[in-house]
Amino acid sequence: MKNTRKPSGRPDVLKVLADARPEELDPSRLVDPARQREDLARIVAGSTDGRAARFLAPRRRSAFRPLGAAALAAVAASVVVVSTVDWREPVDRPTAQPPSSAGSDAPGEGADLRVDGHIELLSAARQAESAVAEGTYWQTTTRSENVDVAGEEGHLFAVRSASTDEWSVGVRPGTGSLEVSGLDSVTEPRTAADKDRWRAAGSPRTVEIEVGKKAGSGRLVTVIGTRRPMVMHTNVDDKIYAVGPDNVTYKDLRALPSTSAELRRHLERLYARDNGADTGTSNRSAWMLRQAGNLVTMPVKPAVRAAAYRVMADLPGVRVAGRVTDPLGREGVGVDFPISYRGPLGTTRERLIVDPSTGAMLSDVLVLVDPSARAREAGLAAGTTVNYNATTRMSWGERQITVPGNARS
Amino acid sequence: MRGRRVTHAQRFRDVYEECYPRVLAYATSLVGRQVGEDITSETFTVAWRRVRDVPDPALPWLLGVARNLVRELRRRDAHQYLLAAEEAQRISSGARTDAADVAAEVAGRHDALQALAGLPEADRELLTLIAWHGLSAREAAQVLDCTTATLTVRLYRARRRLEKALEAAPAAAPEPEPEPAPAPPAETPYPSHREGAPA
Repeated sequence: MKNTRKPSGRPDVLKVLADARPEELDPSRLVDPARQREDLARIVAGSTDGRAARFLAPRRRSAFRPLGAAALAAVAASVVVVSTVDWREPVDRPTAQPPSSAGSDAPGEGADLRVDGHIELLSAARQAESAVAEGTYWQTTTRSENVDVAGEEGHLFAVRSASTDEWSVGVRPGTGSLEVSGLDSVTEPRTAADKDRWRAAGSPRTVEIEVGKKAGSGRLVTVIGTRRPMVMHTNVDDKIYAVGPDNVTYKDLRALPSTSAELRRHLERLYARDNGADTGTSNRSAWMLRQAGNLVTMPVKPAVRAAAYRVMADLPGVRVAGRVTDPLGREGVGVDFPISYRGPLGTTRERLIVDPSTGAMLSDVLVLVDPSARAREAGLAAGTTVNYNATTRMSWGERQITVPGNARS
Repeated sequence: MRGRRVTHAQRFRDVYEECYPRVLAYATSLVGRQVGEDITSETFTVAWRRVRDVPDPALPWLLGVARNLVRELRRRDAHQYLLAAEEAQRISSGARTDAADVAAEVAGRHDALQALAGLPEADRELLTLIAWHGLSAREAAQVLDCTTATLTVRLYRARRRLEKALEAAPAAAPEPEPEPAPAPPAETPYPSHREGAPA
């Protein structure tokens, strides 16, 4: 370092830092003509493929588009999703099984309890209409879990990562928005059998999991055990949520149309802006369902929340299933996305679960419908819930949430 | 024939060719190589869709998009983000390279990376945009979406904190003659573009 001193004798720290740049971050080492060409071809040819289900891109450079697309929408948009495929319900398929990780077989439950889910969803809409006054912070608490496959070929096991997230959005001028994620965060073998296989592998503290990517798949390292929580400021000035391609203020949110016809048209316009060329009815329905599902979790006017449920109920290709159980054991109505997703665990399908008696969004779950060979080997059968976000609290608060002392930013 | 006019498609290809490795390097510094590749791909997907809006130079704009995409990933999938960010941290702290190379030259580098790792996230982000990704203060301001004036102040403070951290670095460990380390030409300005980006 001593050779980087300026004539004054003080080291130019930026120079020192520049020289210390790790090789992995040296652009000249990252040139990969074959990969770049392949990527370029994909981008120029059909850039819309899979995009809507993955990253929702910022519309303006300055527009941090953080959020709305998030809380309940997390799973399908996960980076593990490689591509979308049309989900076609087999004609002779009986009522949907509750996508609960435990009782995926639950024989008999479907037929007996089957009710007209569509009507129940509209009942949720009515319930949503009677809601609360305004406050200062709109706060949601969610419990989430994600399942991955780890280990070496022939000795694979499943790991689950679970945590609690708190998100508190300030809606009054001068208030901020904070998200604390990863509270009680833990990663561990999923079942007793997985634990045995993990032990047989020498109880490694870090394991590699496979993640899906645009081209092929990659590997990430995960640590077995607990983690510190993470804090993030989620607002940009007075922009507090994303609705479609836009970051919106609280005022914008309160100005959303409150009849289902107008709200649908509003969302359709946003879809057109967000996606340019139409990418098919299924994709559009999926996009609309995600947006409507997001709106329900935001501090919109009760009439808007109700309209969002009505929009969901009428989307082409979206199936509303009768009573289903969410991962926390709560009963609700299932709203199935019209497309399924392919990832390293196999083909998965997403479902929102709504409580028709309160109009509350309960969960967003991702269920394995066609496990990959790896997933099968790790004991993940069709019907297993491989990712969920369950909302356990959604209400107004007057005080900002506290950040745990051990949280990292 | 359209004369010498560059079409949007050609312009996009040029920008892609020129900036791809640098966007990937930036994304890798945030989320590691695996997820970084996807972020890079998404960044250029956005650029292609909005090719008319891409300014010249394009790099700060592209890094701004990549940064937004990472924030969005973080908001949307904290679990995946965390794993990816931990991978990035291993890279940025030199944990990935140092083990293989115990040369004396590495000691200084190690100190610098340790000092950096101890700074607040906002400082790290700003300092590396300039020192590692080769941006000017004005360009870094574009990426971080603040004014150049604000950035200058922040940069001044971040530099001071890095200096302090470096001074506090374990000078205790007697460095075995670090002098022979290849000294870069003194005139190289720190936001050097020696990464090979076309001038």
